[in-house]
Amino acid sequence: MKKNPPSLTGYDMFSIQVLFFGASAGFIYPSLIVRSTTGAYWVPLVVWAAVALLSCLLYSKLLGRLQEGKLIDRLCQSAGIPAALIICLPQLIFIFGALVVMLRAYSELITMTMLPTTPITFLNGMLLAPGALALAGMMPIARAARVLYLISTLLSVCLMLIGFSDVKWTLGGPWLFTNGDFLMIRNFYSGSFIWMGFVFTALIGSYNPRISGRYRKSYIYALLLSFPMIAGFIYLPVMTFGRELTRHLTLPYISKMDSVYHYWVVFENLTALFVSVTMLYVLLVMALKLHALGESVKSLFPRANPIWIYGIVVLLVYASASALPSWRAVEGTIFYTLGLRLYALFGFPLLGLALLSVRERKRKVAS
Amino acid sequence: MRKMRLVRAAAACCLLGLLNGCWDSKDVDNRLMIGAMGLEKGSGSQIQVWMRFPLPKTAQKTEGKDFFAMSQPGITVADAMNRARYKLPKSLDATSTRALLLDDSMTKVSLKSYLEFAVRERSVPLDAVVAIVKGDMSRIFTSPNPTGELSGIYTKLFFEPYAGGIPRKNKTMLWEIYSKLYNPLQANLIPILSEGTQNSFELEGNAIYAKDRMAGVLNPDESLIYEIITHRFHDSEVKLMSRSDVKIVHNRTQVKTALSSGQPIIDVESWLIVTLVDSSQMNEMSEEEVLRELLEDLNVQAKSMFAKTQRAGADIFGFGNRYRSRLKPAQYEQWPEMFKMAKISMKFHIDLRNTGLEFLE
Amino acid sequence: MPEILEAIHRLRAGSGSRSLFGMLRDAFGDSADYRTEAVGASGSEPVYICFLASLCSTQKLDLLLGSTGIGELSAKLSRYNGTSIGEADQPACEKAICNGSAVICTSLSENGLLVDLSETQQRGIGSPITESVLQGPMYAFNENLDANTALIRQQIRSPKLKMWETKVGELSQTRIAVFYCQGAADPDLLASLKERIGNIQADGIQDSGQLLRLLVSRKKLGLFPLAMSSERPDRSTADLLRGKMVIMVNGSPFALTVPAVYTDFWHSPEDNYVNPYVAYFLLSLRFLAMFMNLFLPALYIALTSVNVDVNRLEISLAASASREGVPYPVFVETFLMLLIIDFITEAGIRLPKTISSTVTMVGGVVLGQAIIQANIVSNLLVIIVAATAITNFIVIDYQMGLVQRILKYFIAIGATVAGLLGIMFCFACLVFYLSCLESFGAPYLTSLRRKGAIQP
Repeated sequence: MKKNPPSLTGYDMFSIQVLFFGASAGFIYPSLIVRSTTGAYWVPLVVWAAVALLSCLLYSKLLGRLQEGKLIDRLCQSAGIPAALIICLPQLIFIFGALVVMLRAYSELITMTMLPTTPITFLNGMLLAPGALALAGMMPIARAARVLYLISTLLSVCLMLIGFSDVKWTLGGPWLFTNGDFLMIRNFYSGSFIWMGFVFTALIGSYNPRISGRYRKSYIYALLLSFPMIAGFIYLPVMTFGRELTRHLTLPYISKMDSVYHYWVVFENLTALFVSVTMLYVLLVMALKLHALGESVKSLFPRANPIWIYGIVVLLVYASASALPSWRAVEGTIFYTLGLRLYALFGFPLLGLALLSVRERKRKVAS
Repeated sequence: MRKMRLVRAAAACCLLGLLNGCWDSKDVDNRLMIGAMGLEKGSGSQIQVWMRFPLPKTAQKTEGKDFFAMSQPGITVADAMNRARYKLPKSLDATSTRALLLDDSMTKVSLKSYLEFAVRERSVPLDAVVAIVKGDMSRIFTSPNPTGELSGIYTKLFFEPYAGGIPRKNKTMLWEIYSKLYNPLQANLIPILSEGTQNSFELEGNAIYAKDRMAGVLNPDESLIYEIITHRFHDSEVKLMSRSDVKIVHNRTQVKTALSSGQPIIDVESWLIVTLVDSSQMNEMSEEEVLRELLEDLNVQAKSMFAKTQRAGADIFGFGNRYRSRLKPAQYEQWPEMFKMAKISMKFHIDLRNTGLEFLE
Repeated sequence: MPEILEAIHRLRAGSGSRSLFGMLRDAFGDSADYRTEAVGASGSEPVYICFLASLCSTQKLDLLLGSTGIGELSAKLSRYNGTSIGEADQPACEKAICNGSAVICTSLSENGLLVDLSETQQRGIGSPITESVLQGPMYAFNENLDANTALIRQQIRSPKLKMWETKVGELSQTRIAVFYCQGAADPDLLASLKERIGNIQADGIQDSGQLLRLLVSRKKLGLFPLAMSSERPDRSTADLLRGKMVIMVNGSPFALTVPAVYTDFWHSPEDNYVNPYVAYFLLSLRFLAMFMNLFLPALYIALTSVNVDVNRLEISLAASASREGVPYPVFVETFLMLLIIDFITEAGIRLPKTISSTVTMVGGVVLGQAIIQANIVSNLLVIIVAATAITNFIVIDYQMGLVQRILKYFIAIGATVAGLLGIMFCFACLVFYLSCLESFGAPYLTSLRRKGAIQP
């Protein structure tokens, strides 16, 4: 009996998406949004959420075209490996860039907060664990995601609730005013990376129309659940420190956690707790990204040994993350990979859809 | 089998890596943790940093001081802390600092540049309490605290609502000061302590800051009105009057703001729940009289408080934040001037309770 | 009557050079408990009975050997009417003798007759020793497979309860039984399990734990137990009804339940017998204890050497005071103490009960007091280590408890290197590792709740 290639359940995808938001929204993102506008902050959030939702629908349309199979495999079949390689290459570079930035940003965050003298090259070594998990396959990632989702969202929500202390609602204003100034500011575009969890899940697992519906639904639910969380990451520091100071903070939410003091909170330094919880998110999301990257490469080079693929990918990511010289370089990379992100959001699914429909028409004509 | 051996070799390499690891590991007994830190204007552009380290109580020695105090001049706080390391046998650790005491002399210079180190480096925790201290820093830092030791902890307890803190003390944390220094729509109010005769220090009032300089002082009674408006009531406060004492146990405040042709109009209404603590037996007062006197008192203090803050252009209450949506972001910087012209009115509604029940009739 | 006698008479003289009787004598020649007795004659040939005295029931033998006189053979044999008696050749006879049968043959015959006279040495059915029962059936499995089968069948009286049996072990020929409920158990899983058992190559199997090691291929052999081992019949039957399979090894009182997922190890059968709120409370208590056991020593290291700013100044001062004068870094004293407490635990387990309490007293109290006074470790650490040791005993499953004892060192290493983050990293690694594990086809981290039946 030949079983279908495994696919993620709706809950798996949901928890992966939530973890993705948790991993990317907590540290760099708030400062990007706070610096991007003088108006209400939720407007850029909603704009990007809408864009991402649109892209997610595109992807689910593309995935709905598949009949049991992986996306990249199918593209290779219908267009031939060279053409598929051209289509996928920007996508792969995008994932690679996202991995490098995530790893480097997180280890930078650690050196800024908890382990100031530990070398970043050592901290980047944490990539090994996600690398091993990525190699183990998709189902282990999904299982780990379910467990970590339970643990880390619980902790995050607790931290966020504690973060509501010392909040003054009047500091959050203007609540409605917006003049679209963020459209002119690059930080707004840099912030797009946090919405893109669905791009990675699209590349792993097999899909059919039913699963693609599940894919769409899980992202929408995750978005609904995570939106308050993302808003909290931005608004909590703003409502504590005021907009003016928050604009000057590199990691507003971290500083917010620093400022919390309660007699009954056992841990004096909530930042340490927050950074530790974020580690759970980050490790899993890196495993997901590595797996998406590795699987795509495997589809494109079917004869390569998976251990070598993953080994080389991990090494490359490690080397690039260690080679980035500074935080500014990280921020720069986030901005300059915008083109790749836009390609991943729209270019790739549109091209894929076009390819598959052309193929189908040809087949119809032939038959 | 070969793979197994490779894995083992890799594991061994990792262990080797660990051997030179533990970069940030420094055992707790090898650290000197700062409990309280003091900043004083030194000679020239230098700053004098006072540090008080609580010493652990070991079983062996019970005598002697259980804290150690030292001072160190430097160009910045970070510089002074660095220099202090020249003198110390153990690692200097400021991450547990509980209190930051600013000397009177610090009120004359810009606070921002001296406090920036804490936020920039995360060296001093943002939740440390800050107070301005009048008096001799060296005496405050080197003489034992009569109420007990662990100066840093006790200074913090002095302000904490769960311990000795009362609303008038206006507990102010480092991040509050720092965020208000940046916020043009709100000004700082920092408690002032003076060196006490019985305890290390006692509350004198609260310093109004306009931007980053001190611009006036609220006395404790006026501070109480400030607390009523900003609604940070966490404990009952006794209000003394000529012939009776009342305790304010609860309050609710409503602030209504409006902007009419560039002039902010601010209406503050406060509902107080008050209990009668003591009324003089000699000349019995009626309930109405108590109320009238209390109202009068409160109104006088509110008036003088608003006058002080408006004169300084320091919106310590954060009324300006309510105008965030109504003003353009570019106008925020003008808020202190607008505040000077603002029309502020305050109205109290008092609910006197427990007048019928007394243990001693 | 005497079919047996007829059968004896039918035994043909061998065409080969050697008779069964001679070959058996050679095979068991050096065994002191091998006996041959002449019990009568078949024609001119004397009839012998050959057996291992240690395995045969003396009562049953009495009938054959009791009185003398060759002529009475038919009368003697008539008492065995009804017992199954079969004819067998030499290898089968050897095997049968090892199983406790007696072989009746003439001195020249090629084949022999087998009479089952076996008597197994076994313990009575007692109460579980490794799992103390607070509520529920008080009996436990013993070493006899048939008795164990009876215990299970007594609880599930249905034809749907199936039992598949095979023998494993070149020399030991140990009986292995797999129980399952038809309809509930996953047939694919069952087939693969049977295949795996069939593929086992070993000389002998002494215990079900050993079987588990042989079942799980070496490459996949992980740290965590992949099957639940229990000596409580109520646990096994409950698992059977939930669609799991139970493997039993003759000679071992521990039944293996497969597939086992991580959360199974945290459930005690009692959970189903008590008030559900109490059960949930106990369950959360156990998980809490697990986290304490894993993280407490590591947290001590992290909070006193790397992330000192995470705990309150007062606690840091107390820790600092207790460590004053200790000349070693925190992680050295912690590892030292953890090792010592593990020594004490091991000593307590291995020793007879009467002495073990003394050892734990001496170890725990005297050593603990002395080690503090000698300024080798801080007294805060002694509290930590004691709490760690206590929480370890809350773990339901013995094997899981052993795993935890190892894992706490692993997490403590993480804490030594990177403090709290190291702990989190190790924890994440642990979750990753667990999520990669599969127990006989079922993912180890299947669900956090207990489901009705394991879905493939």
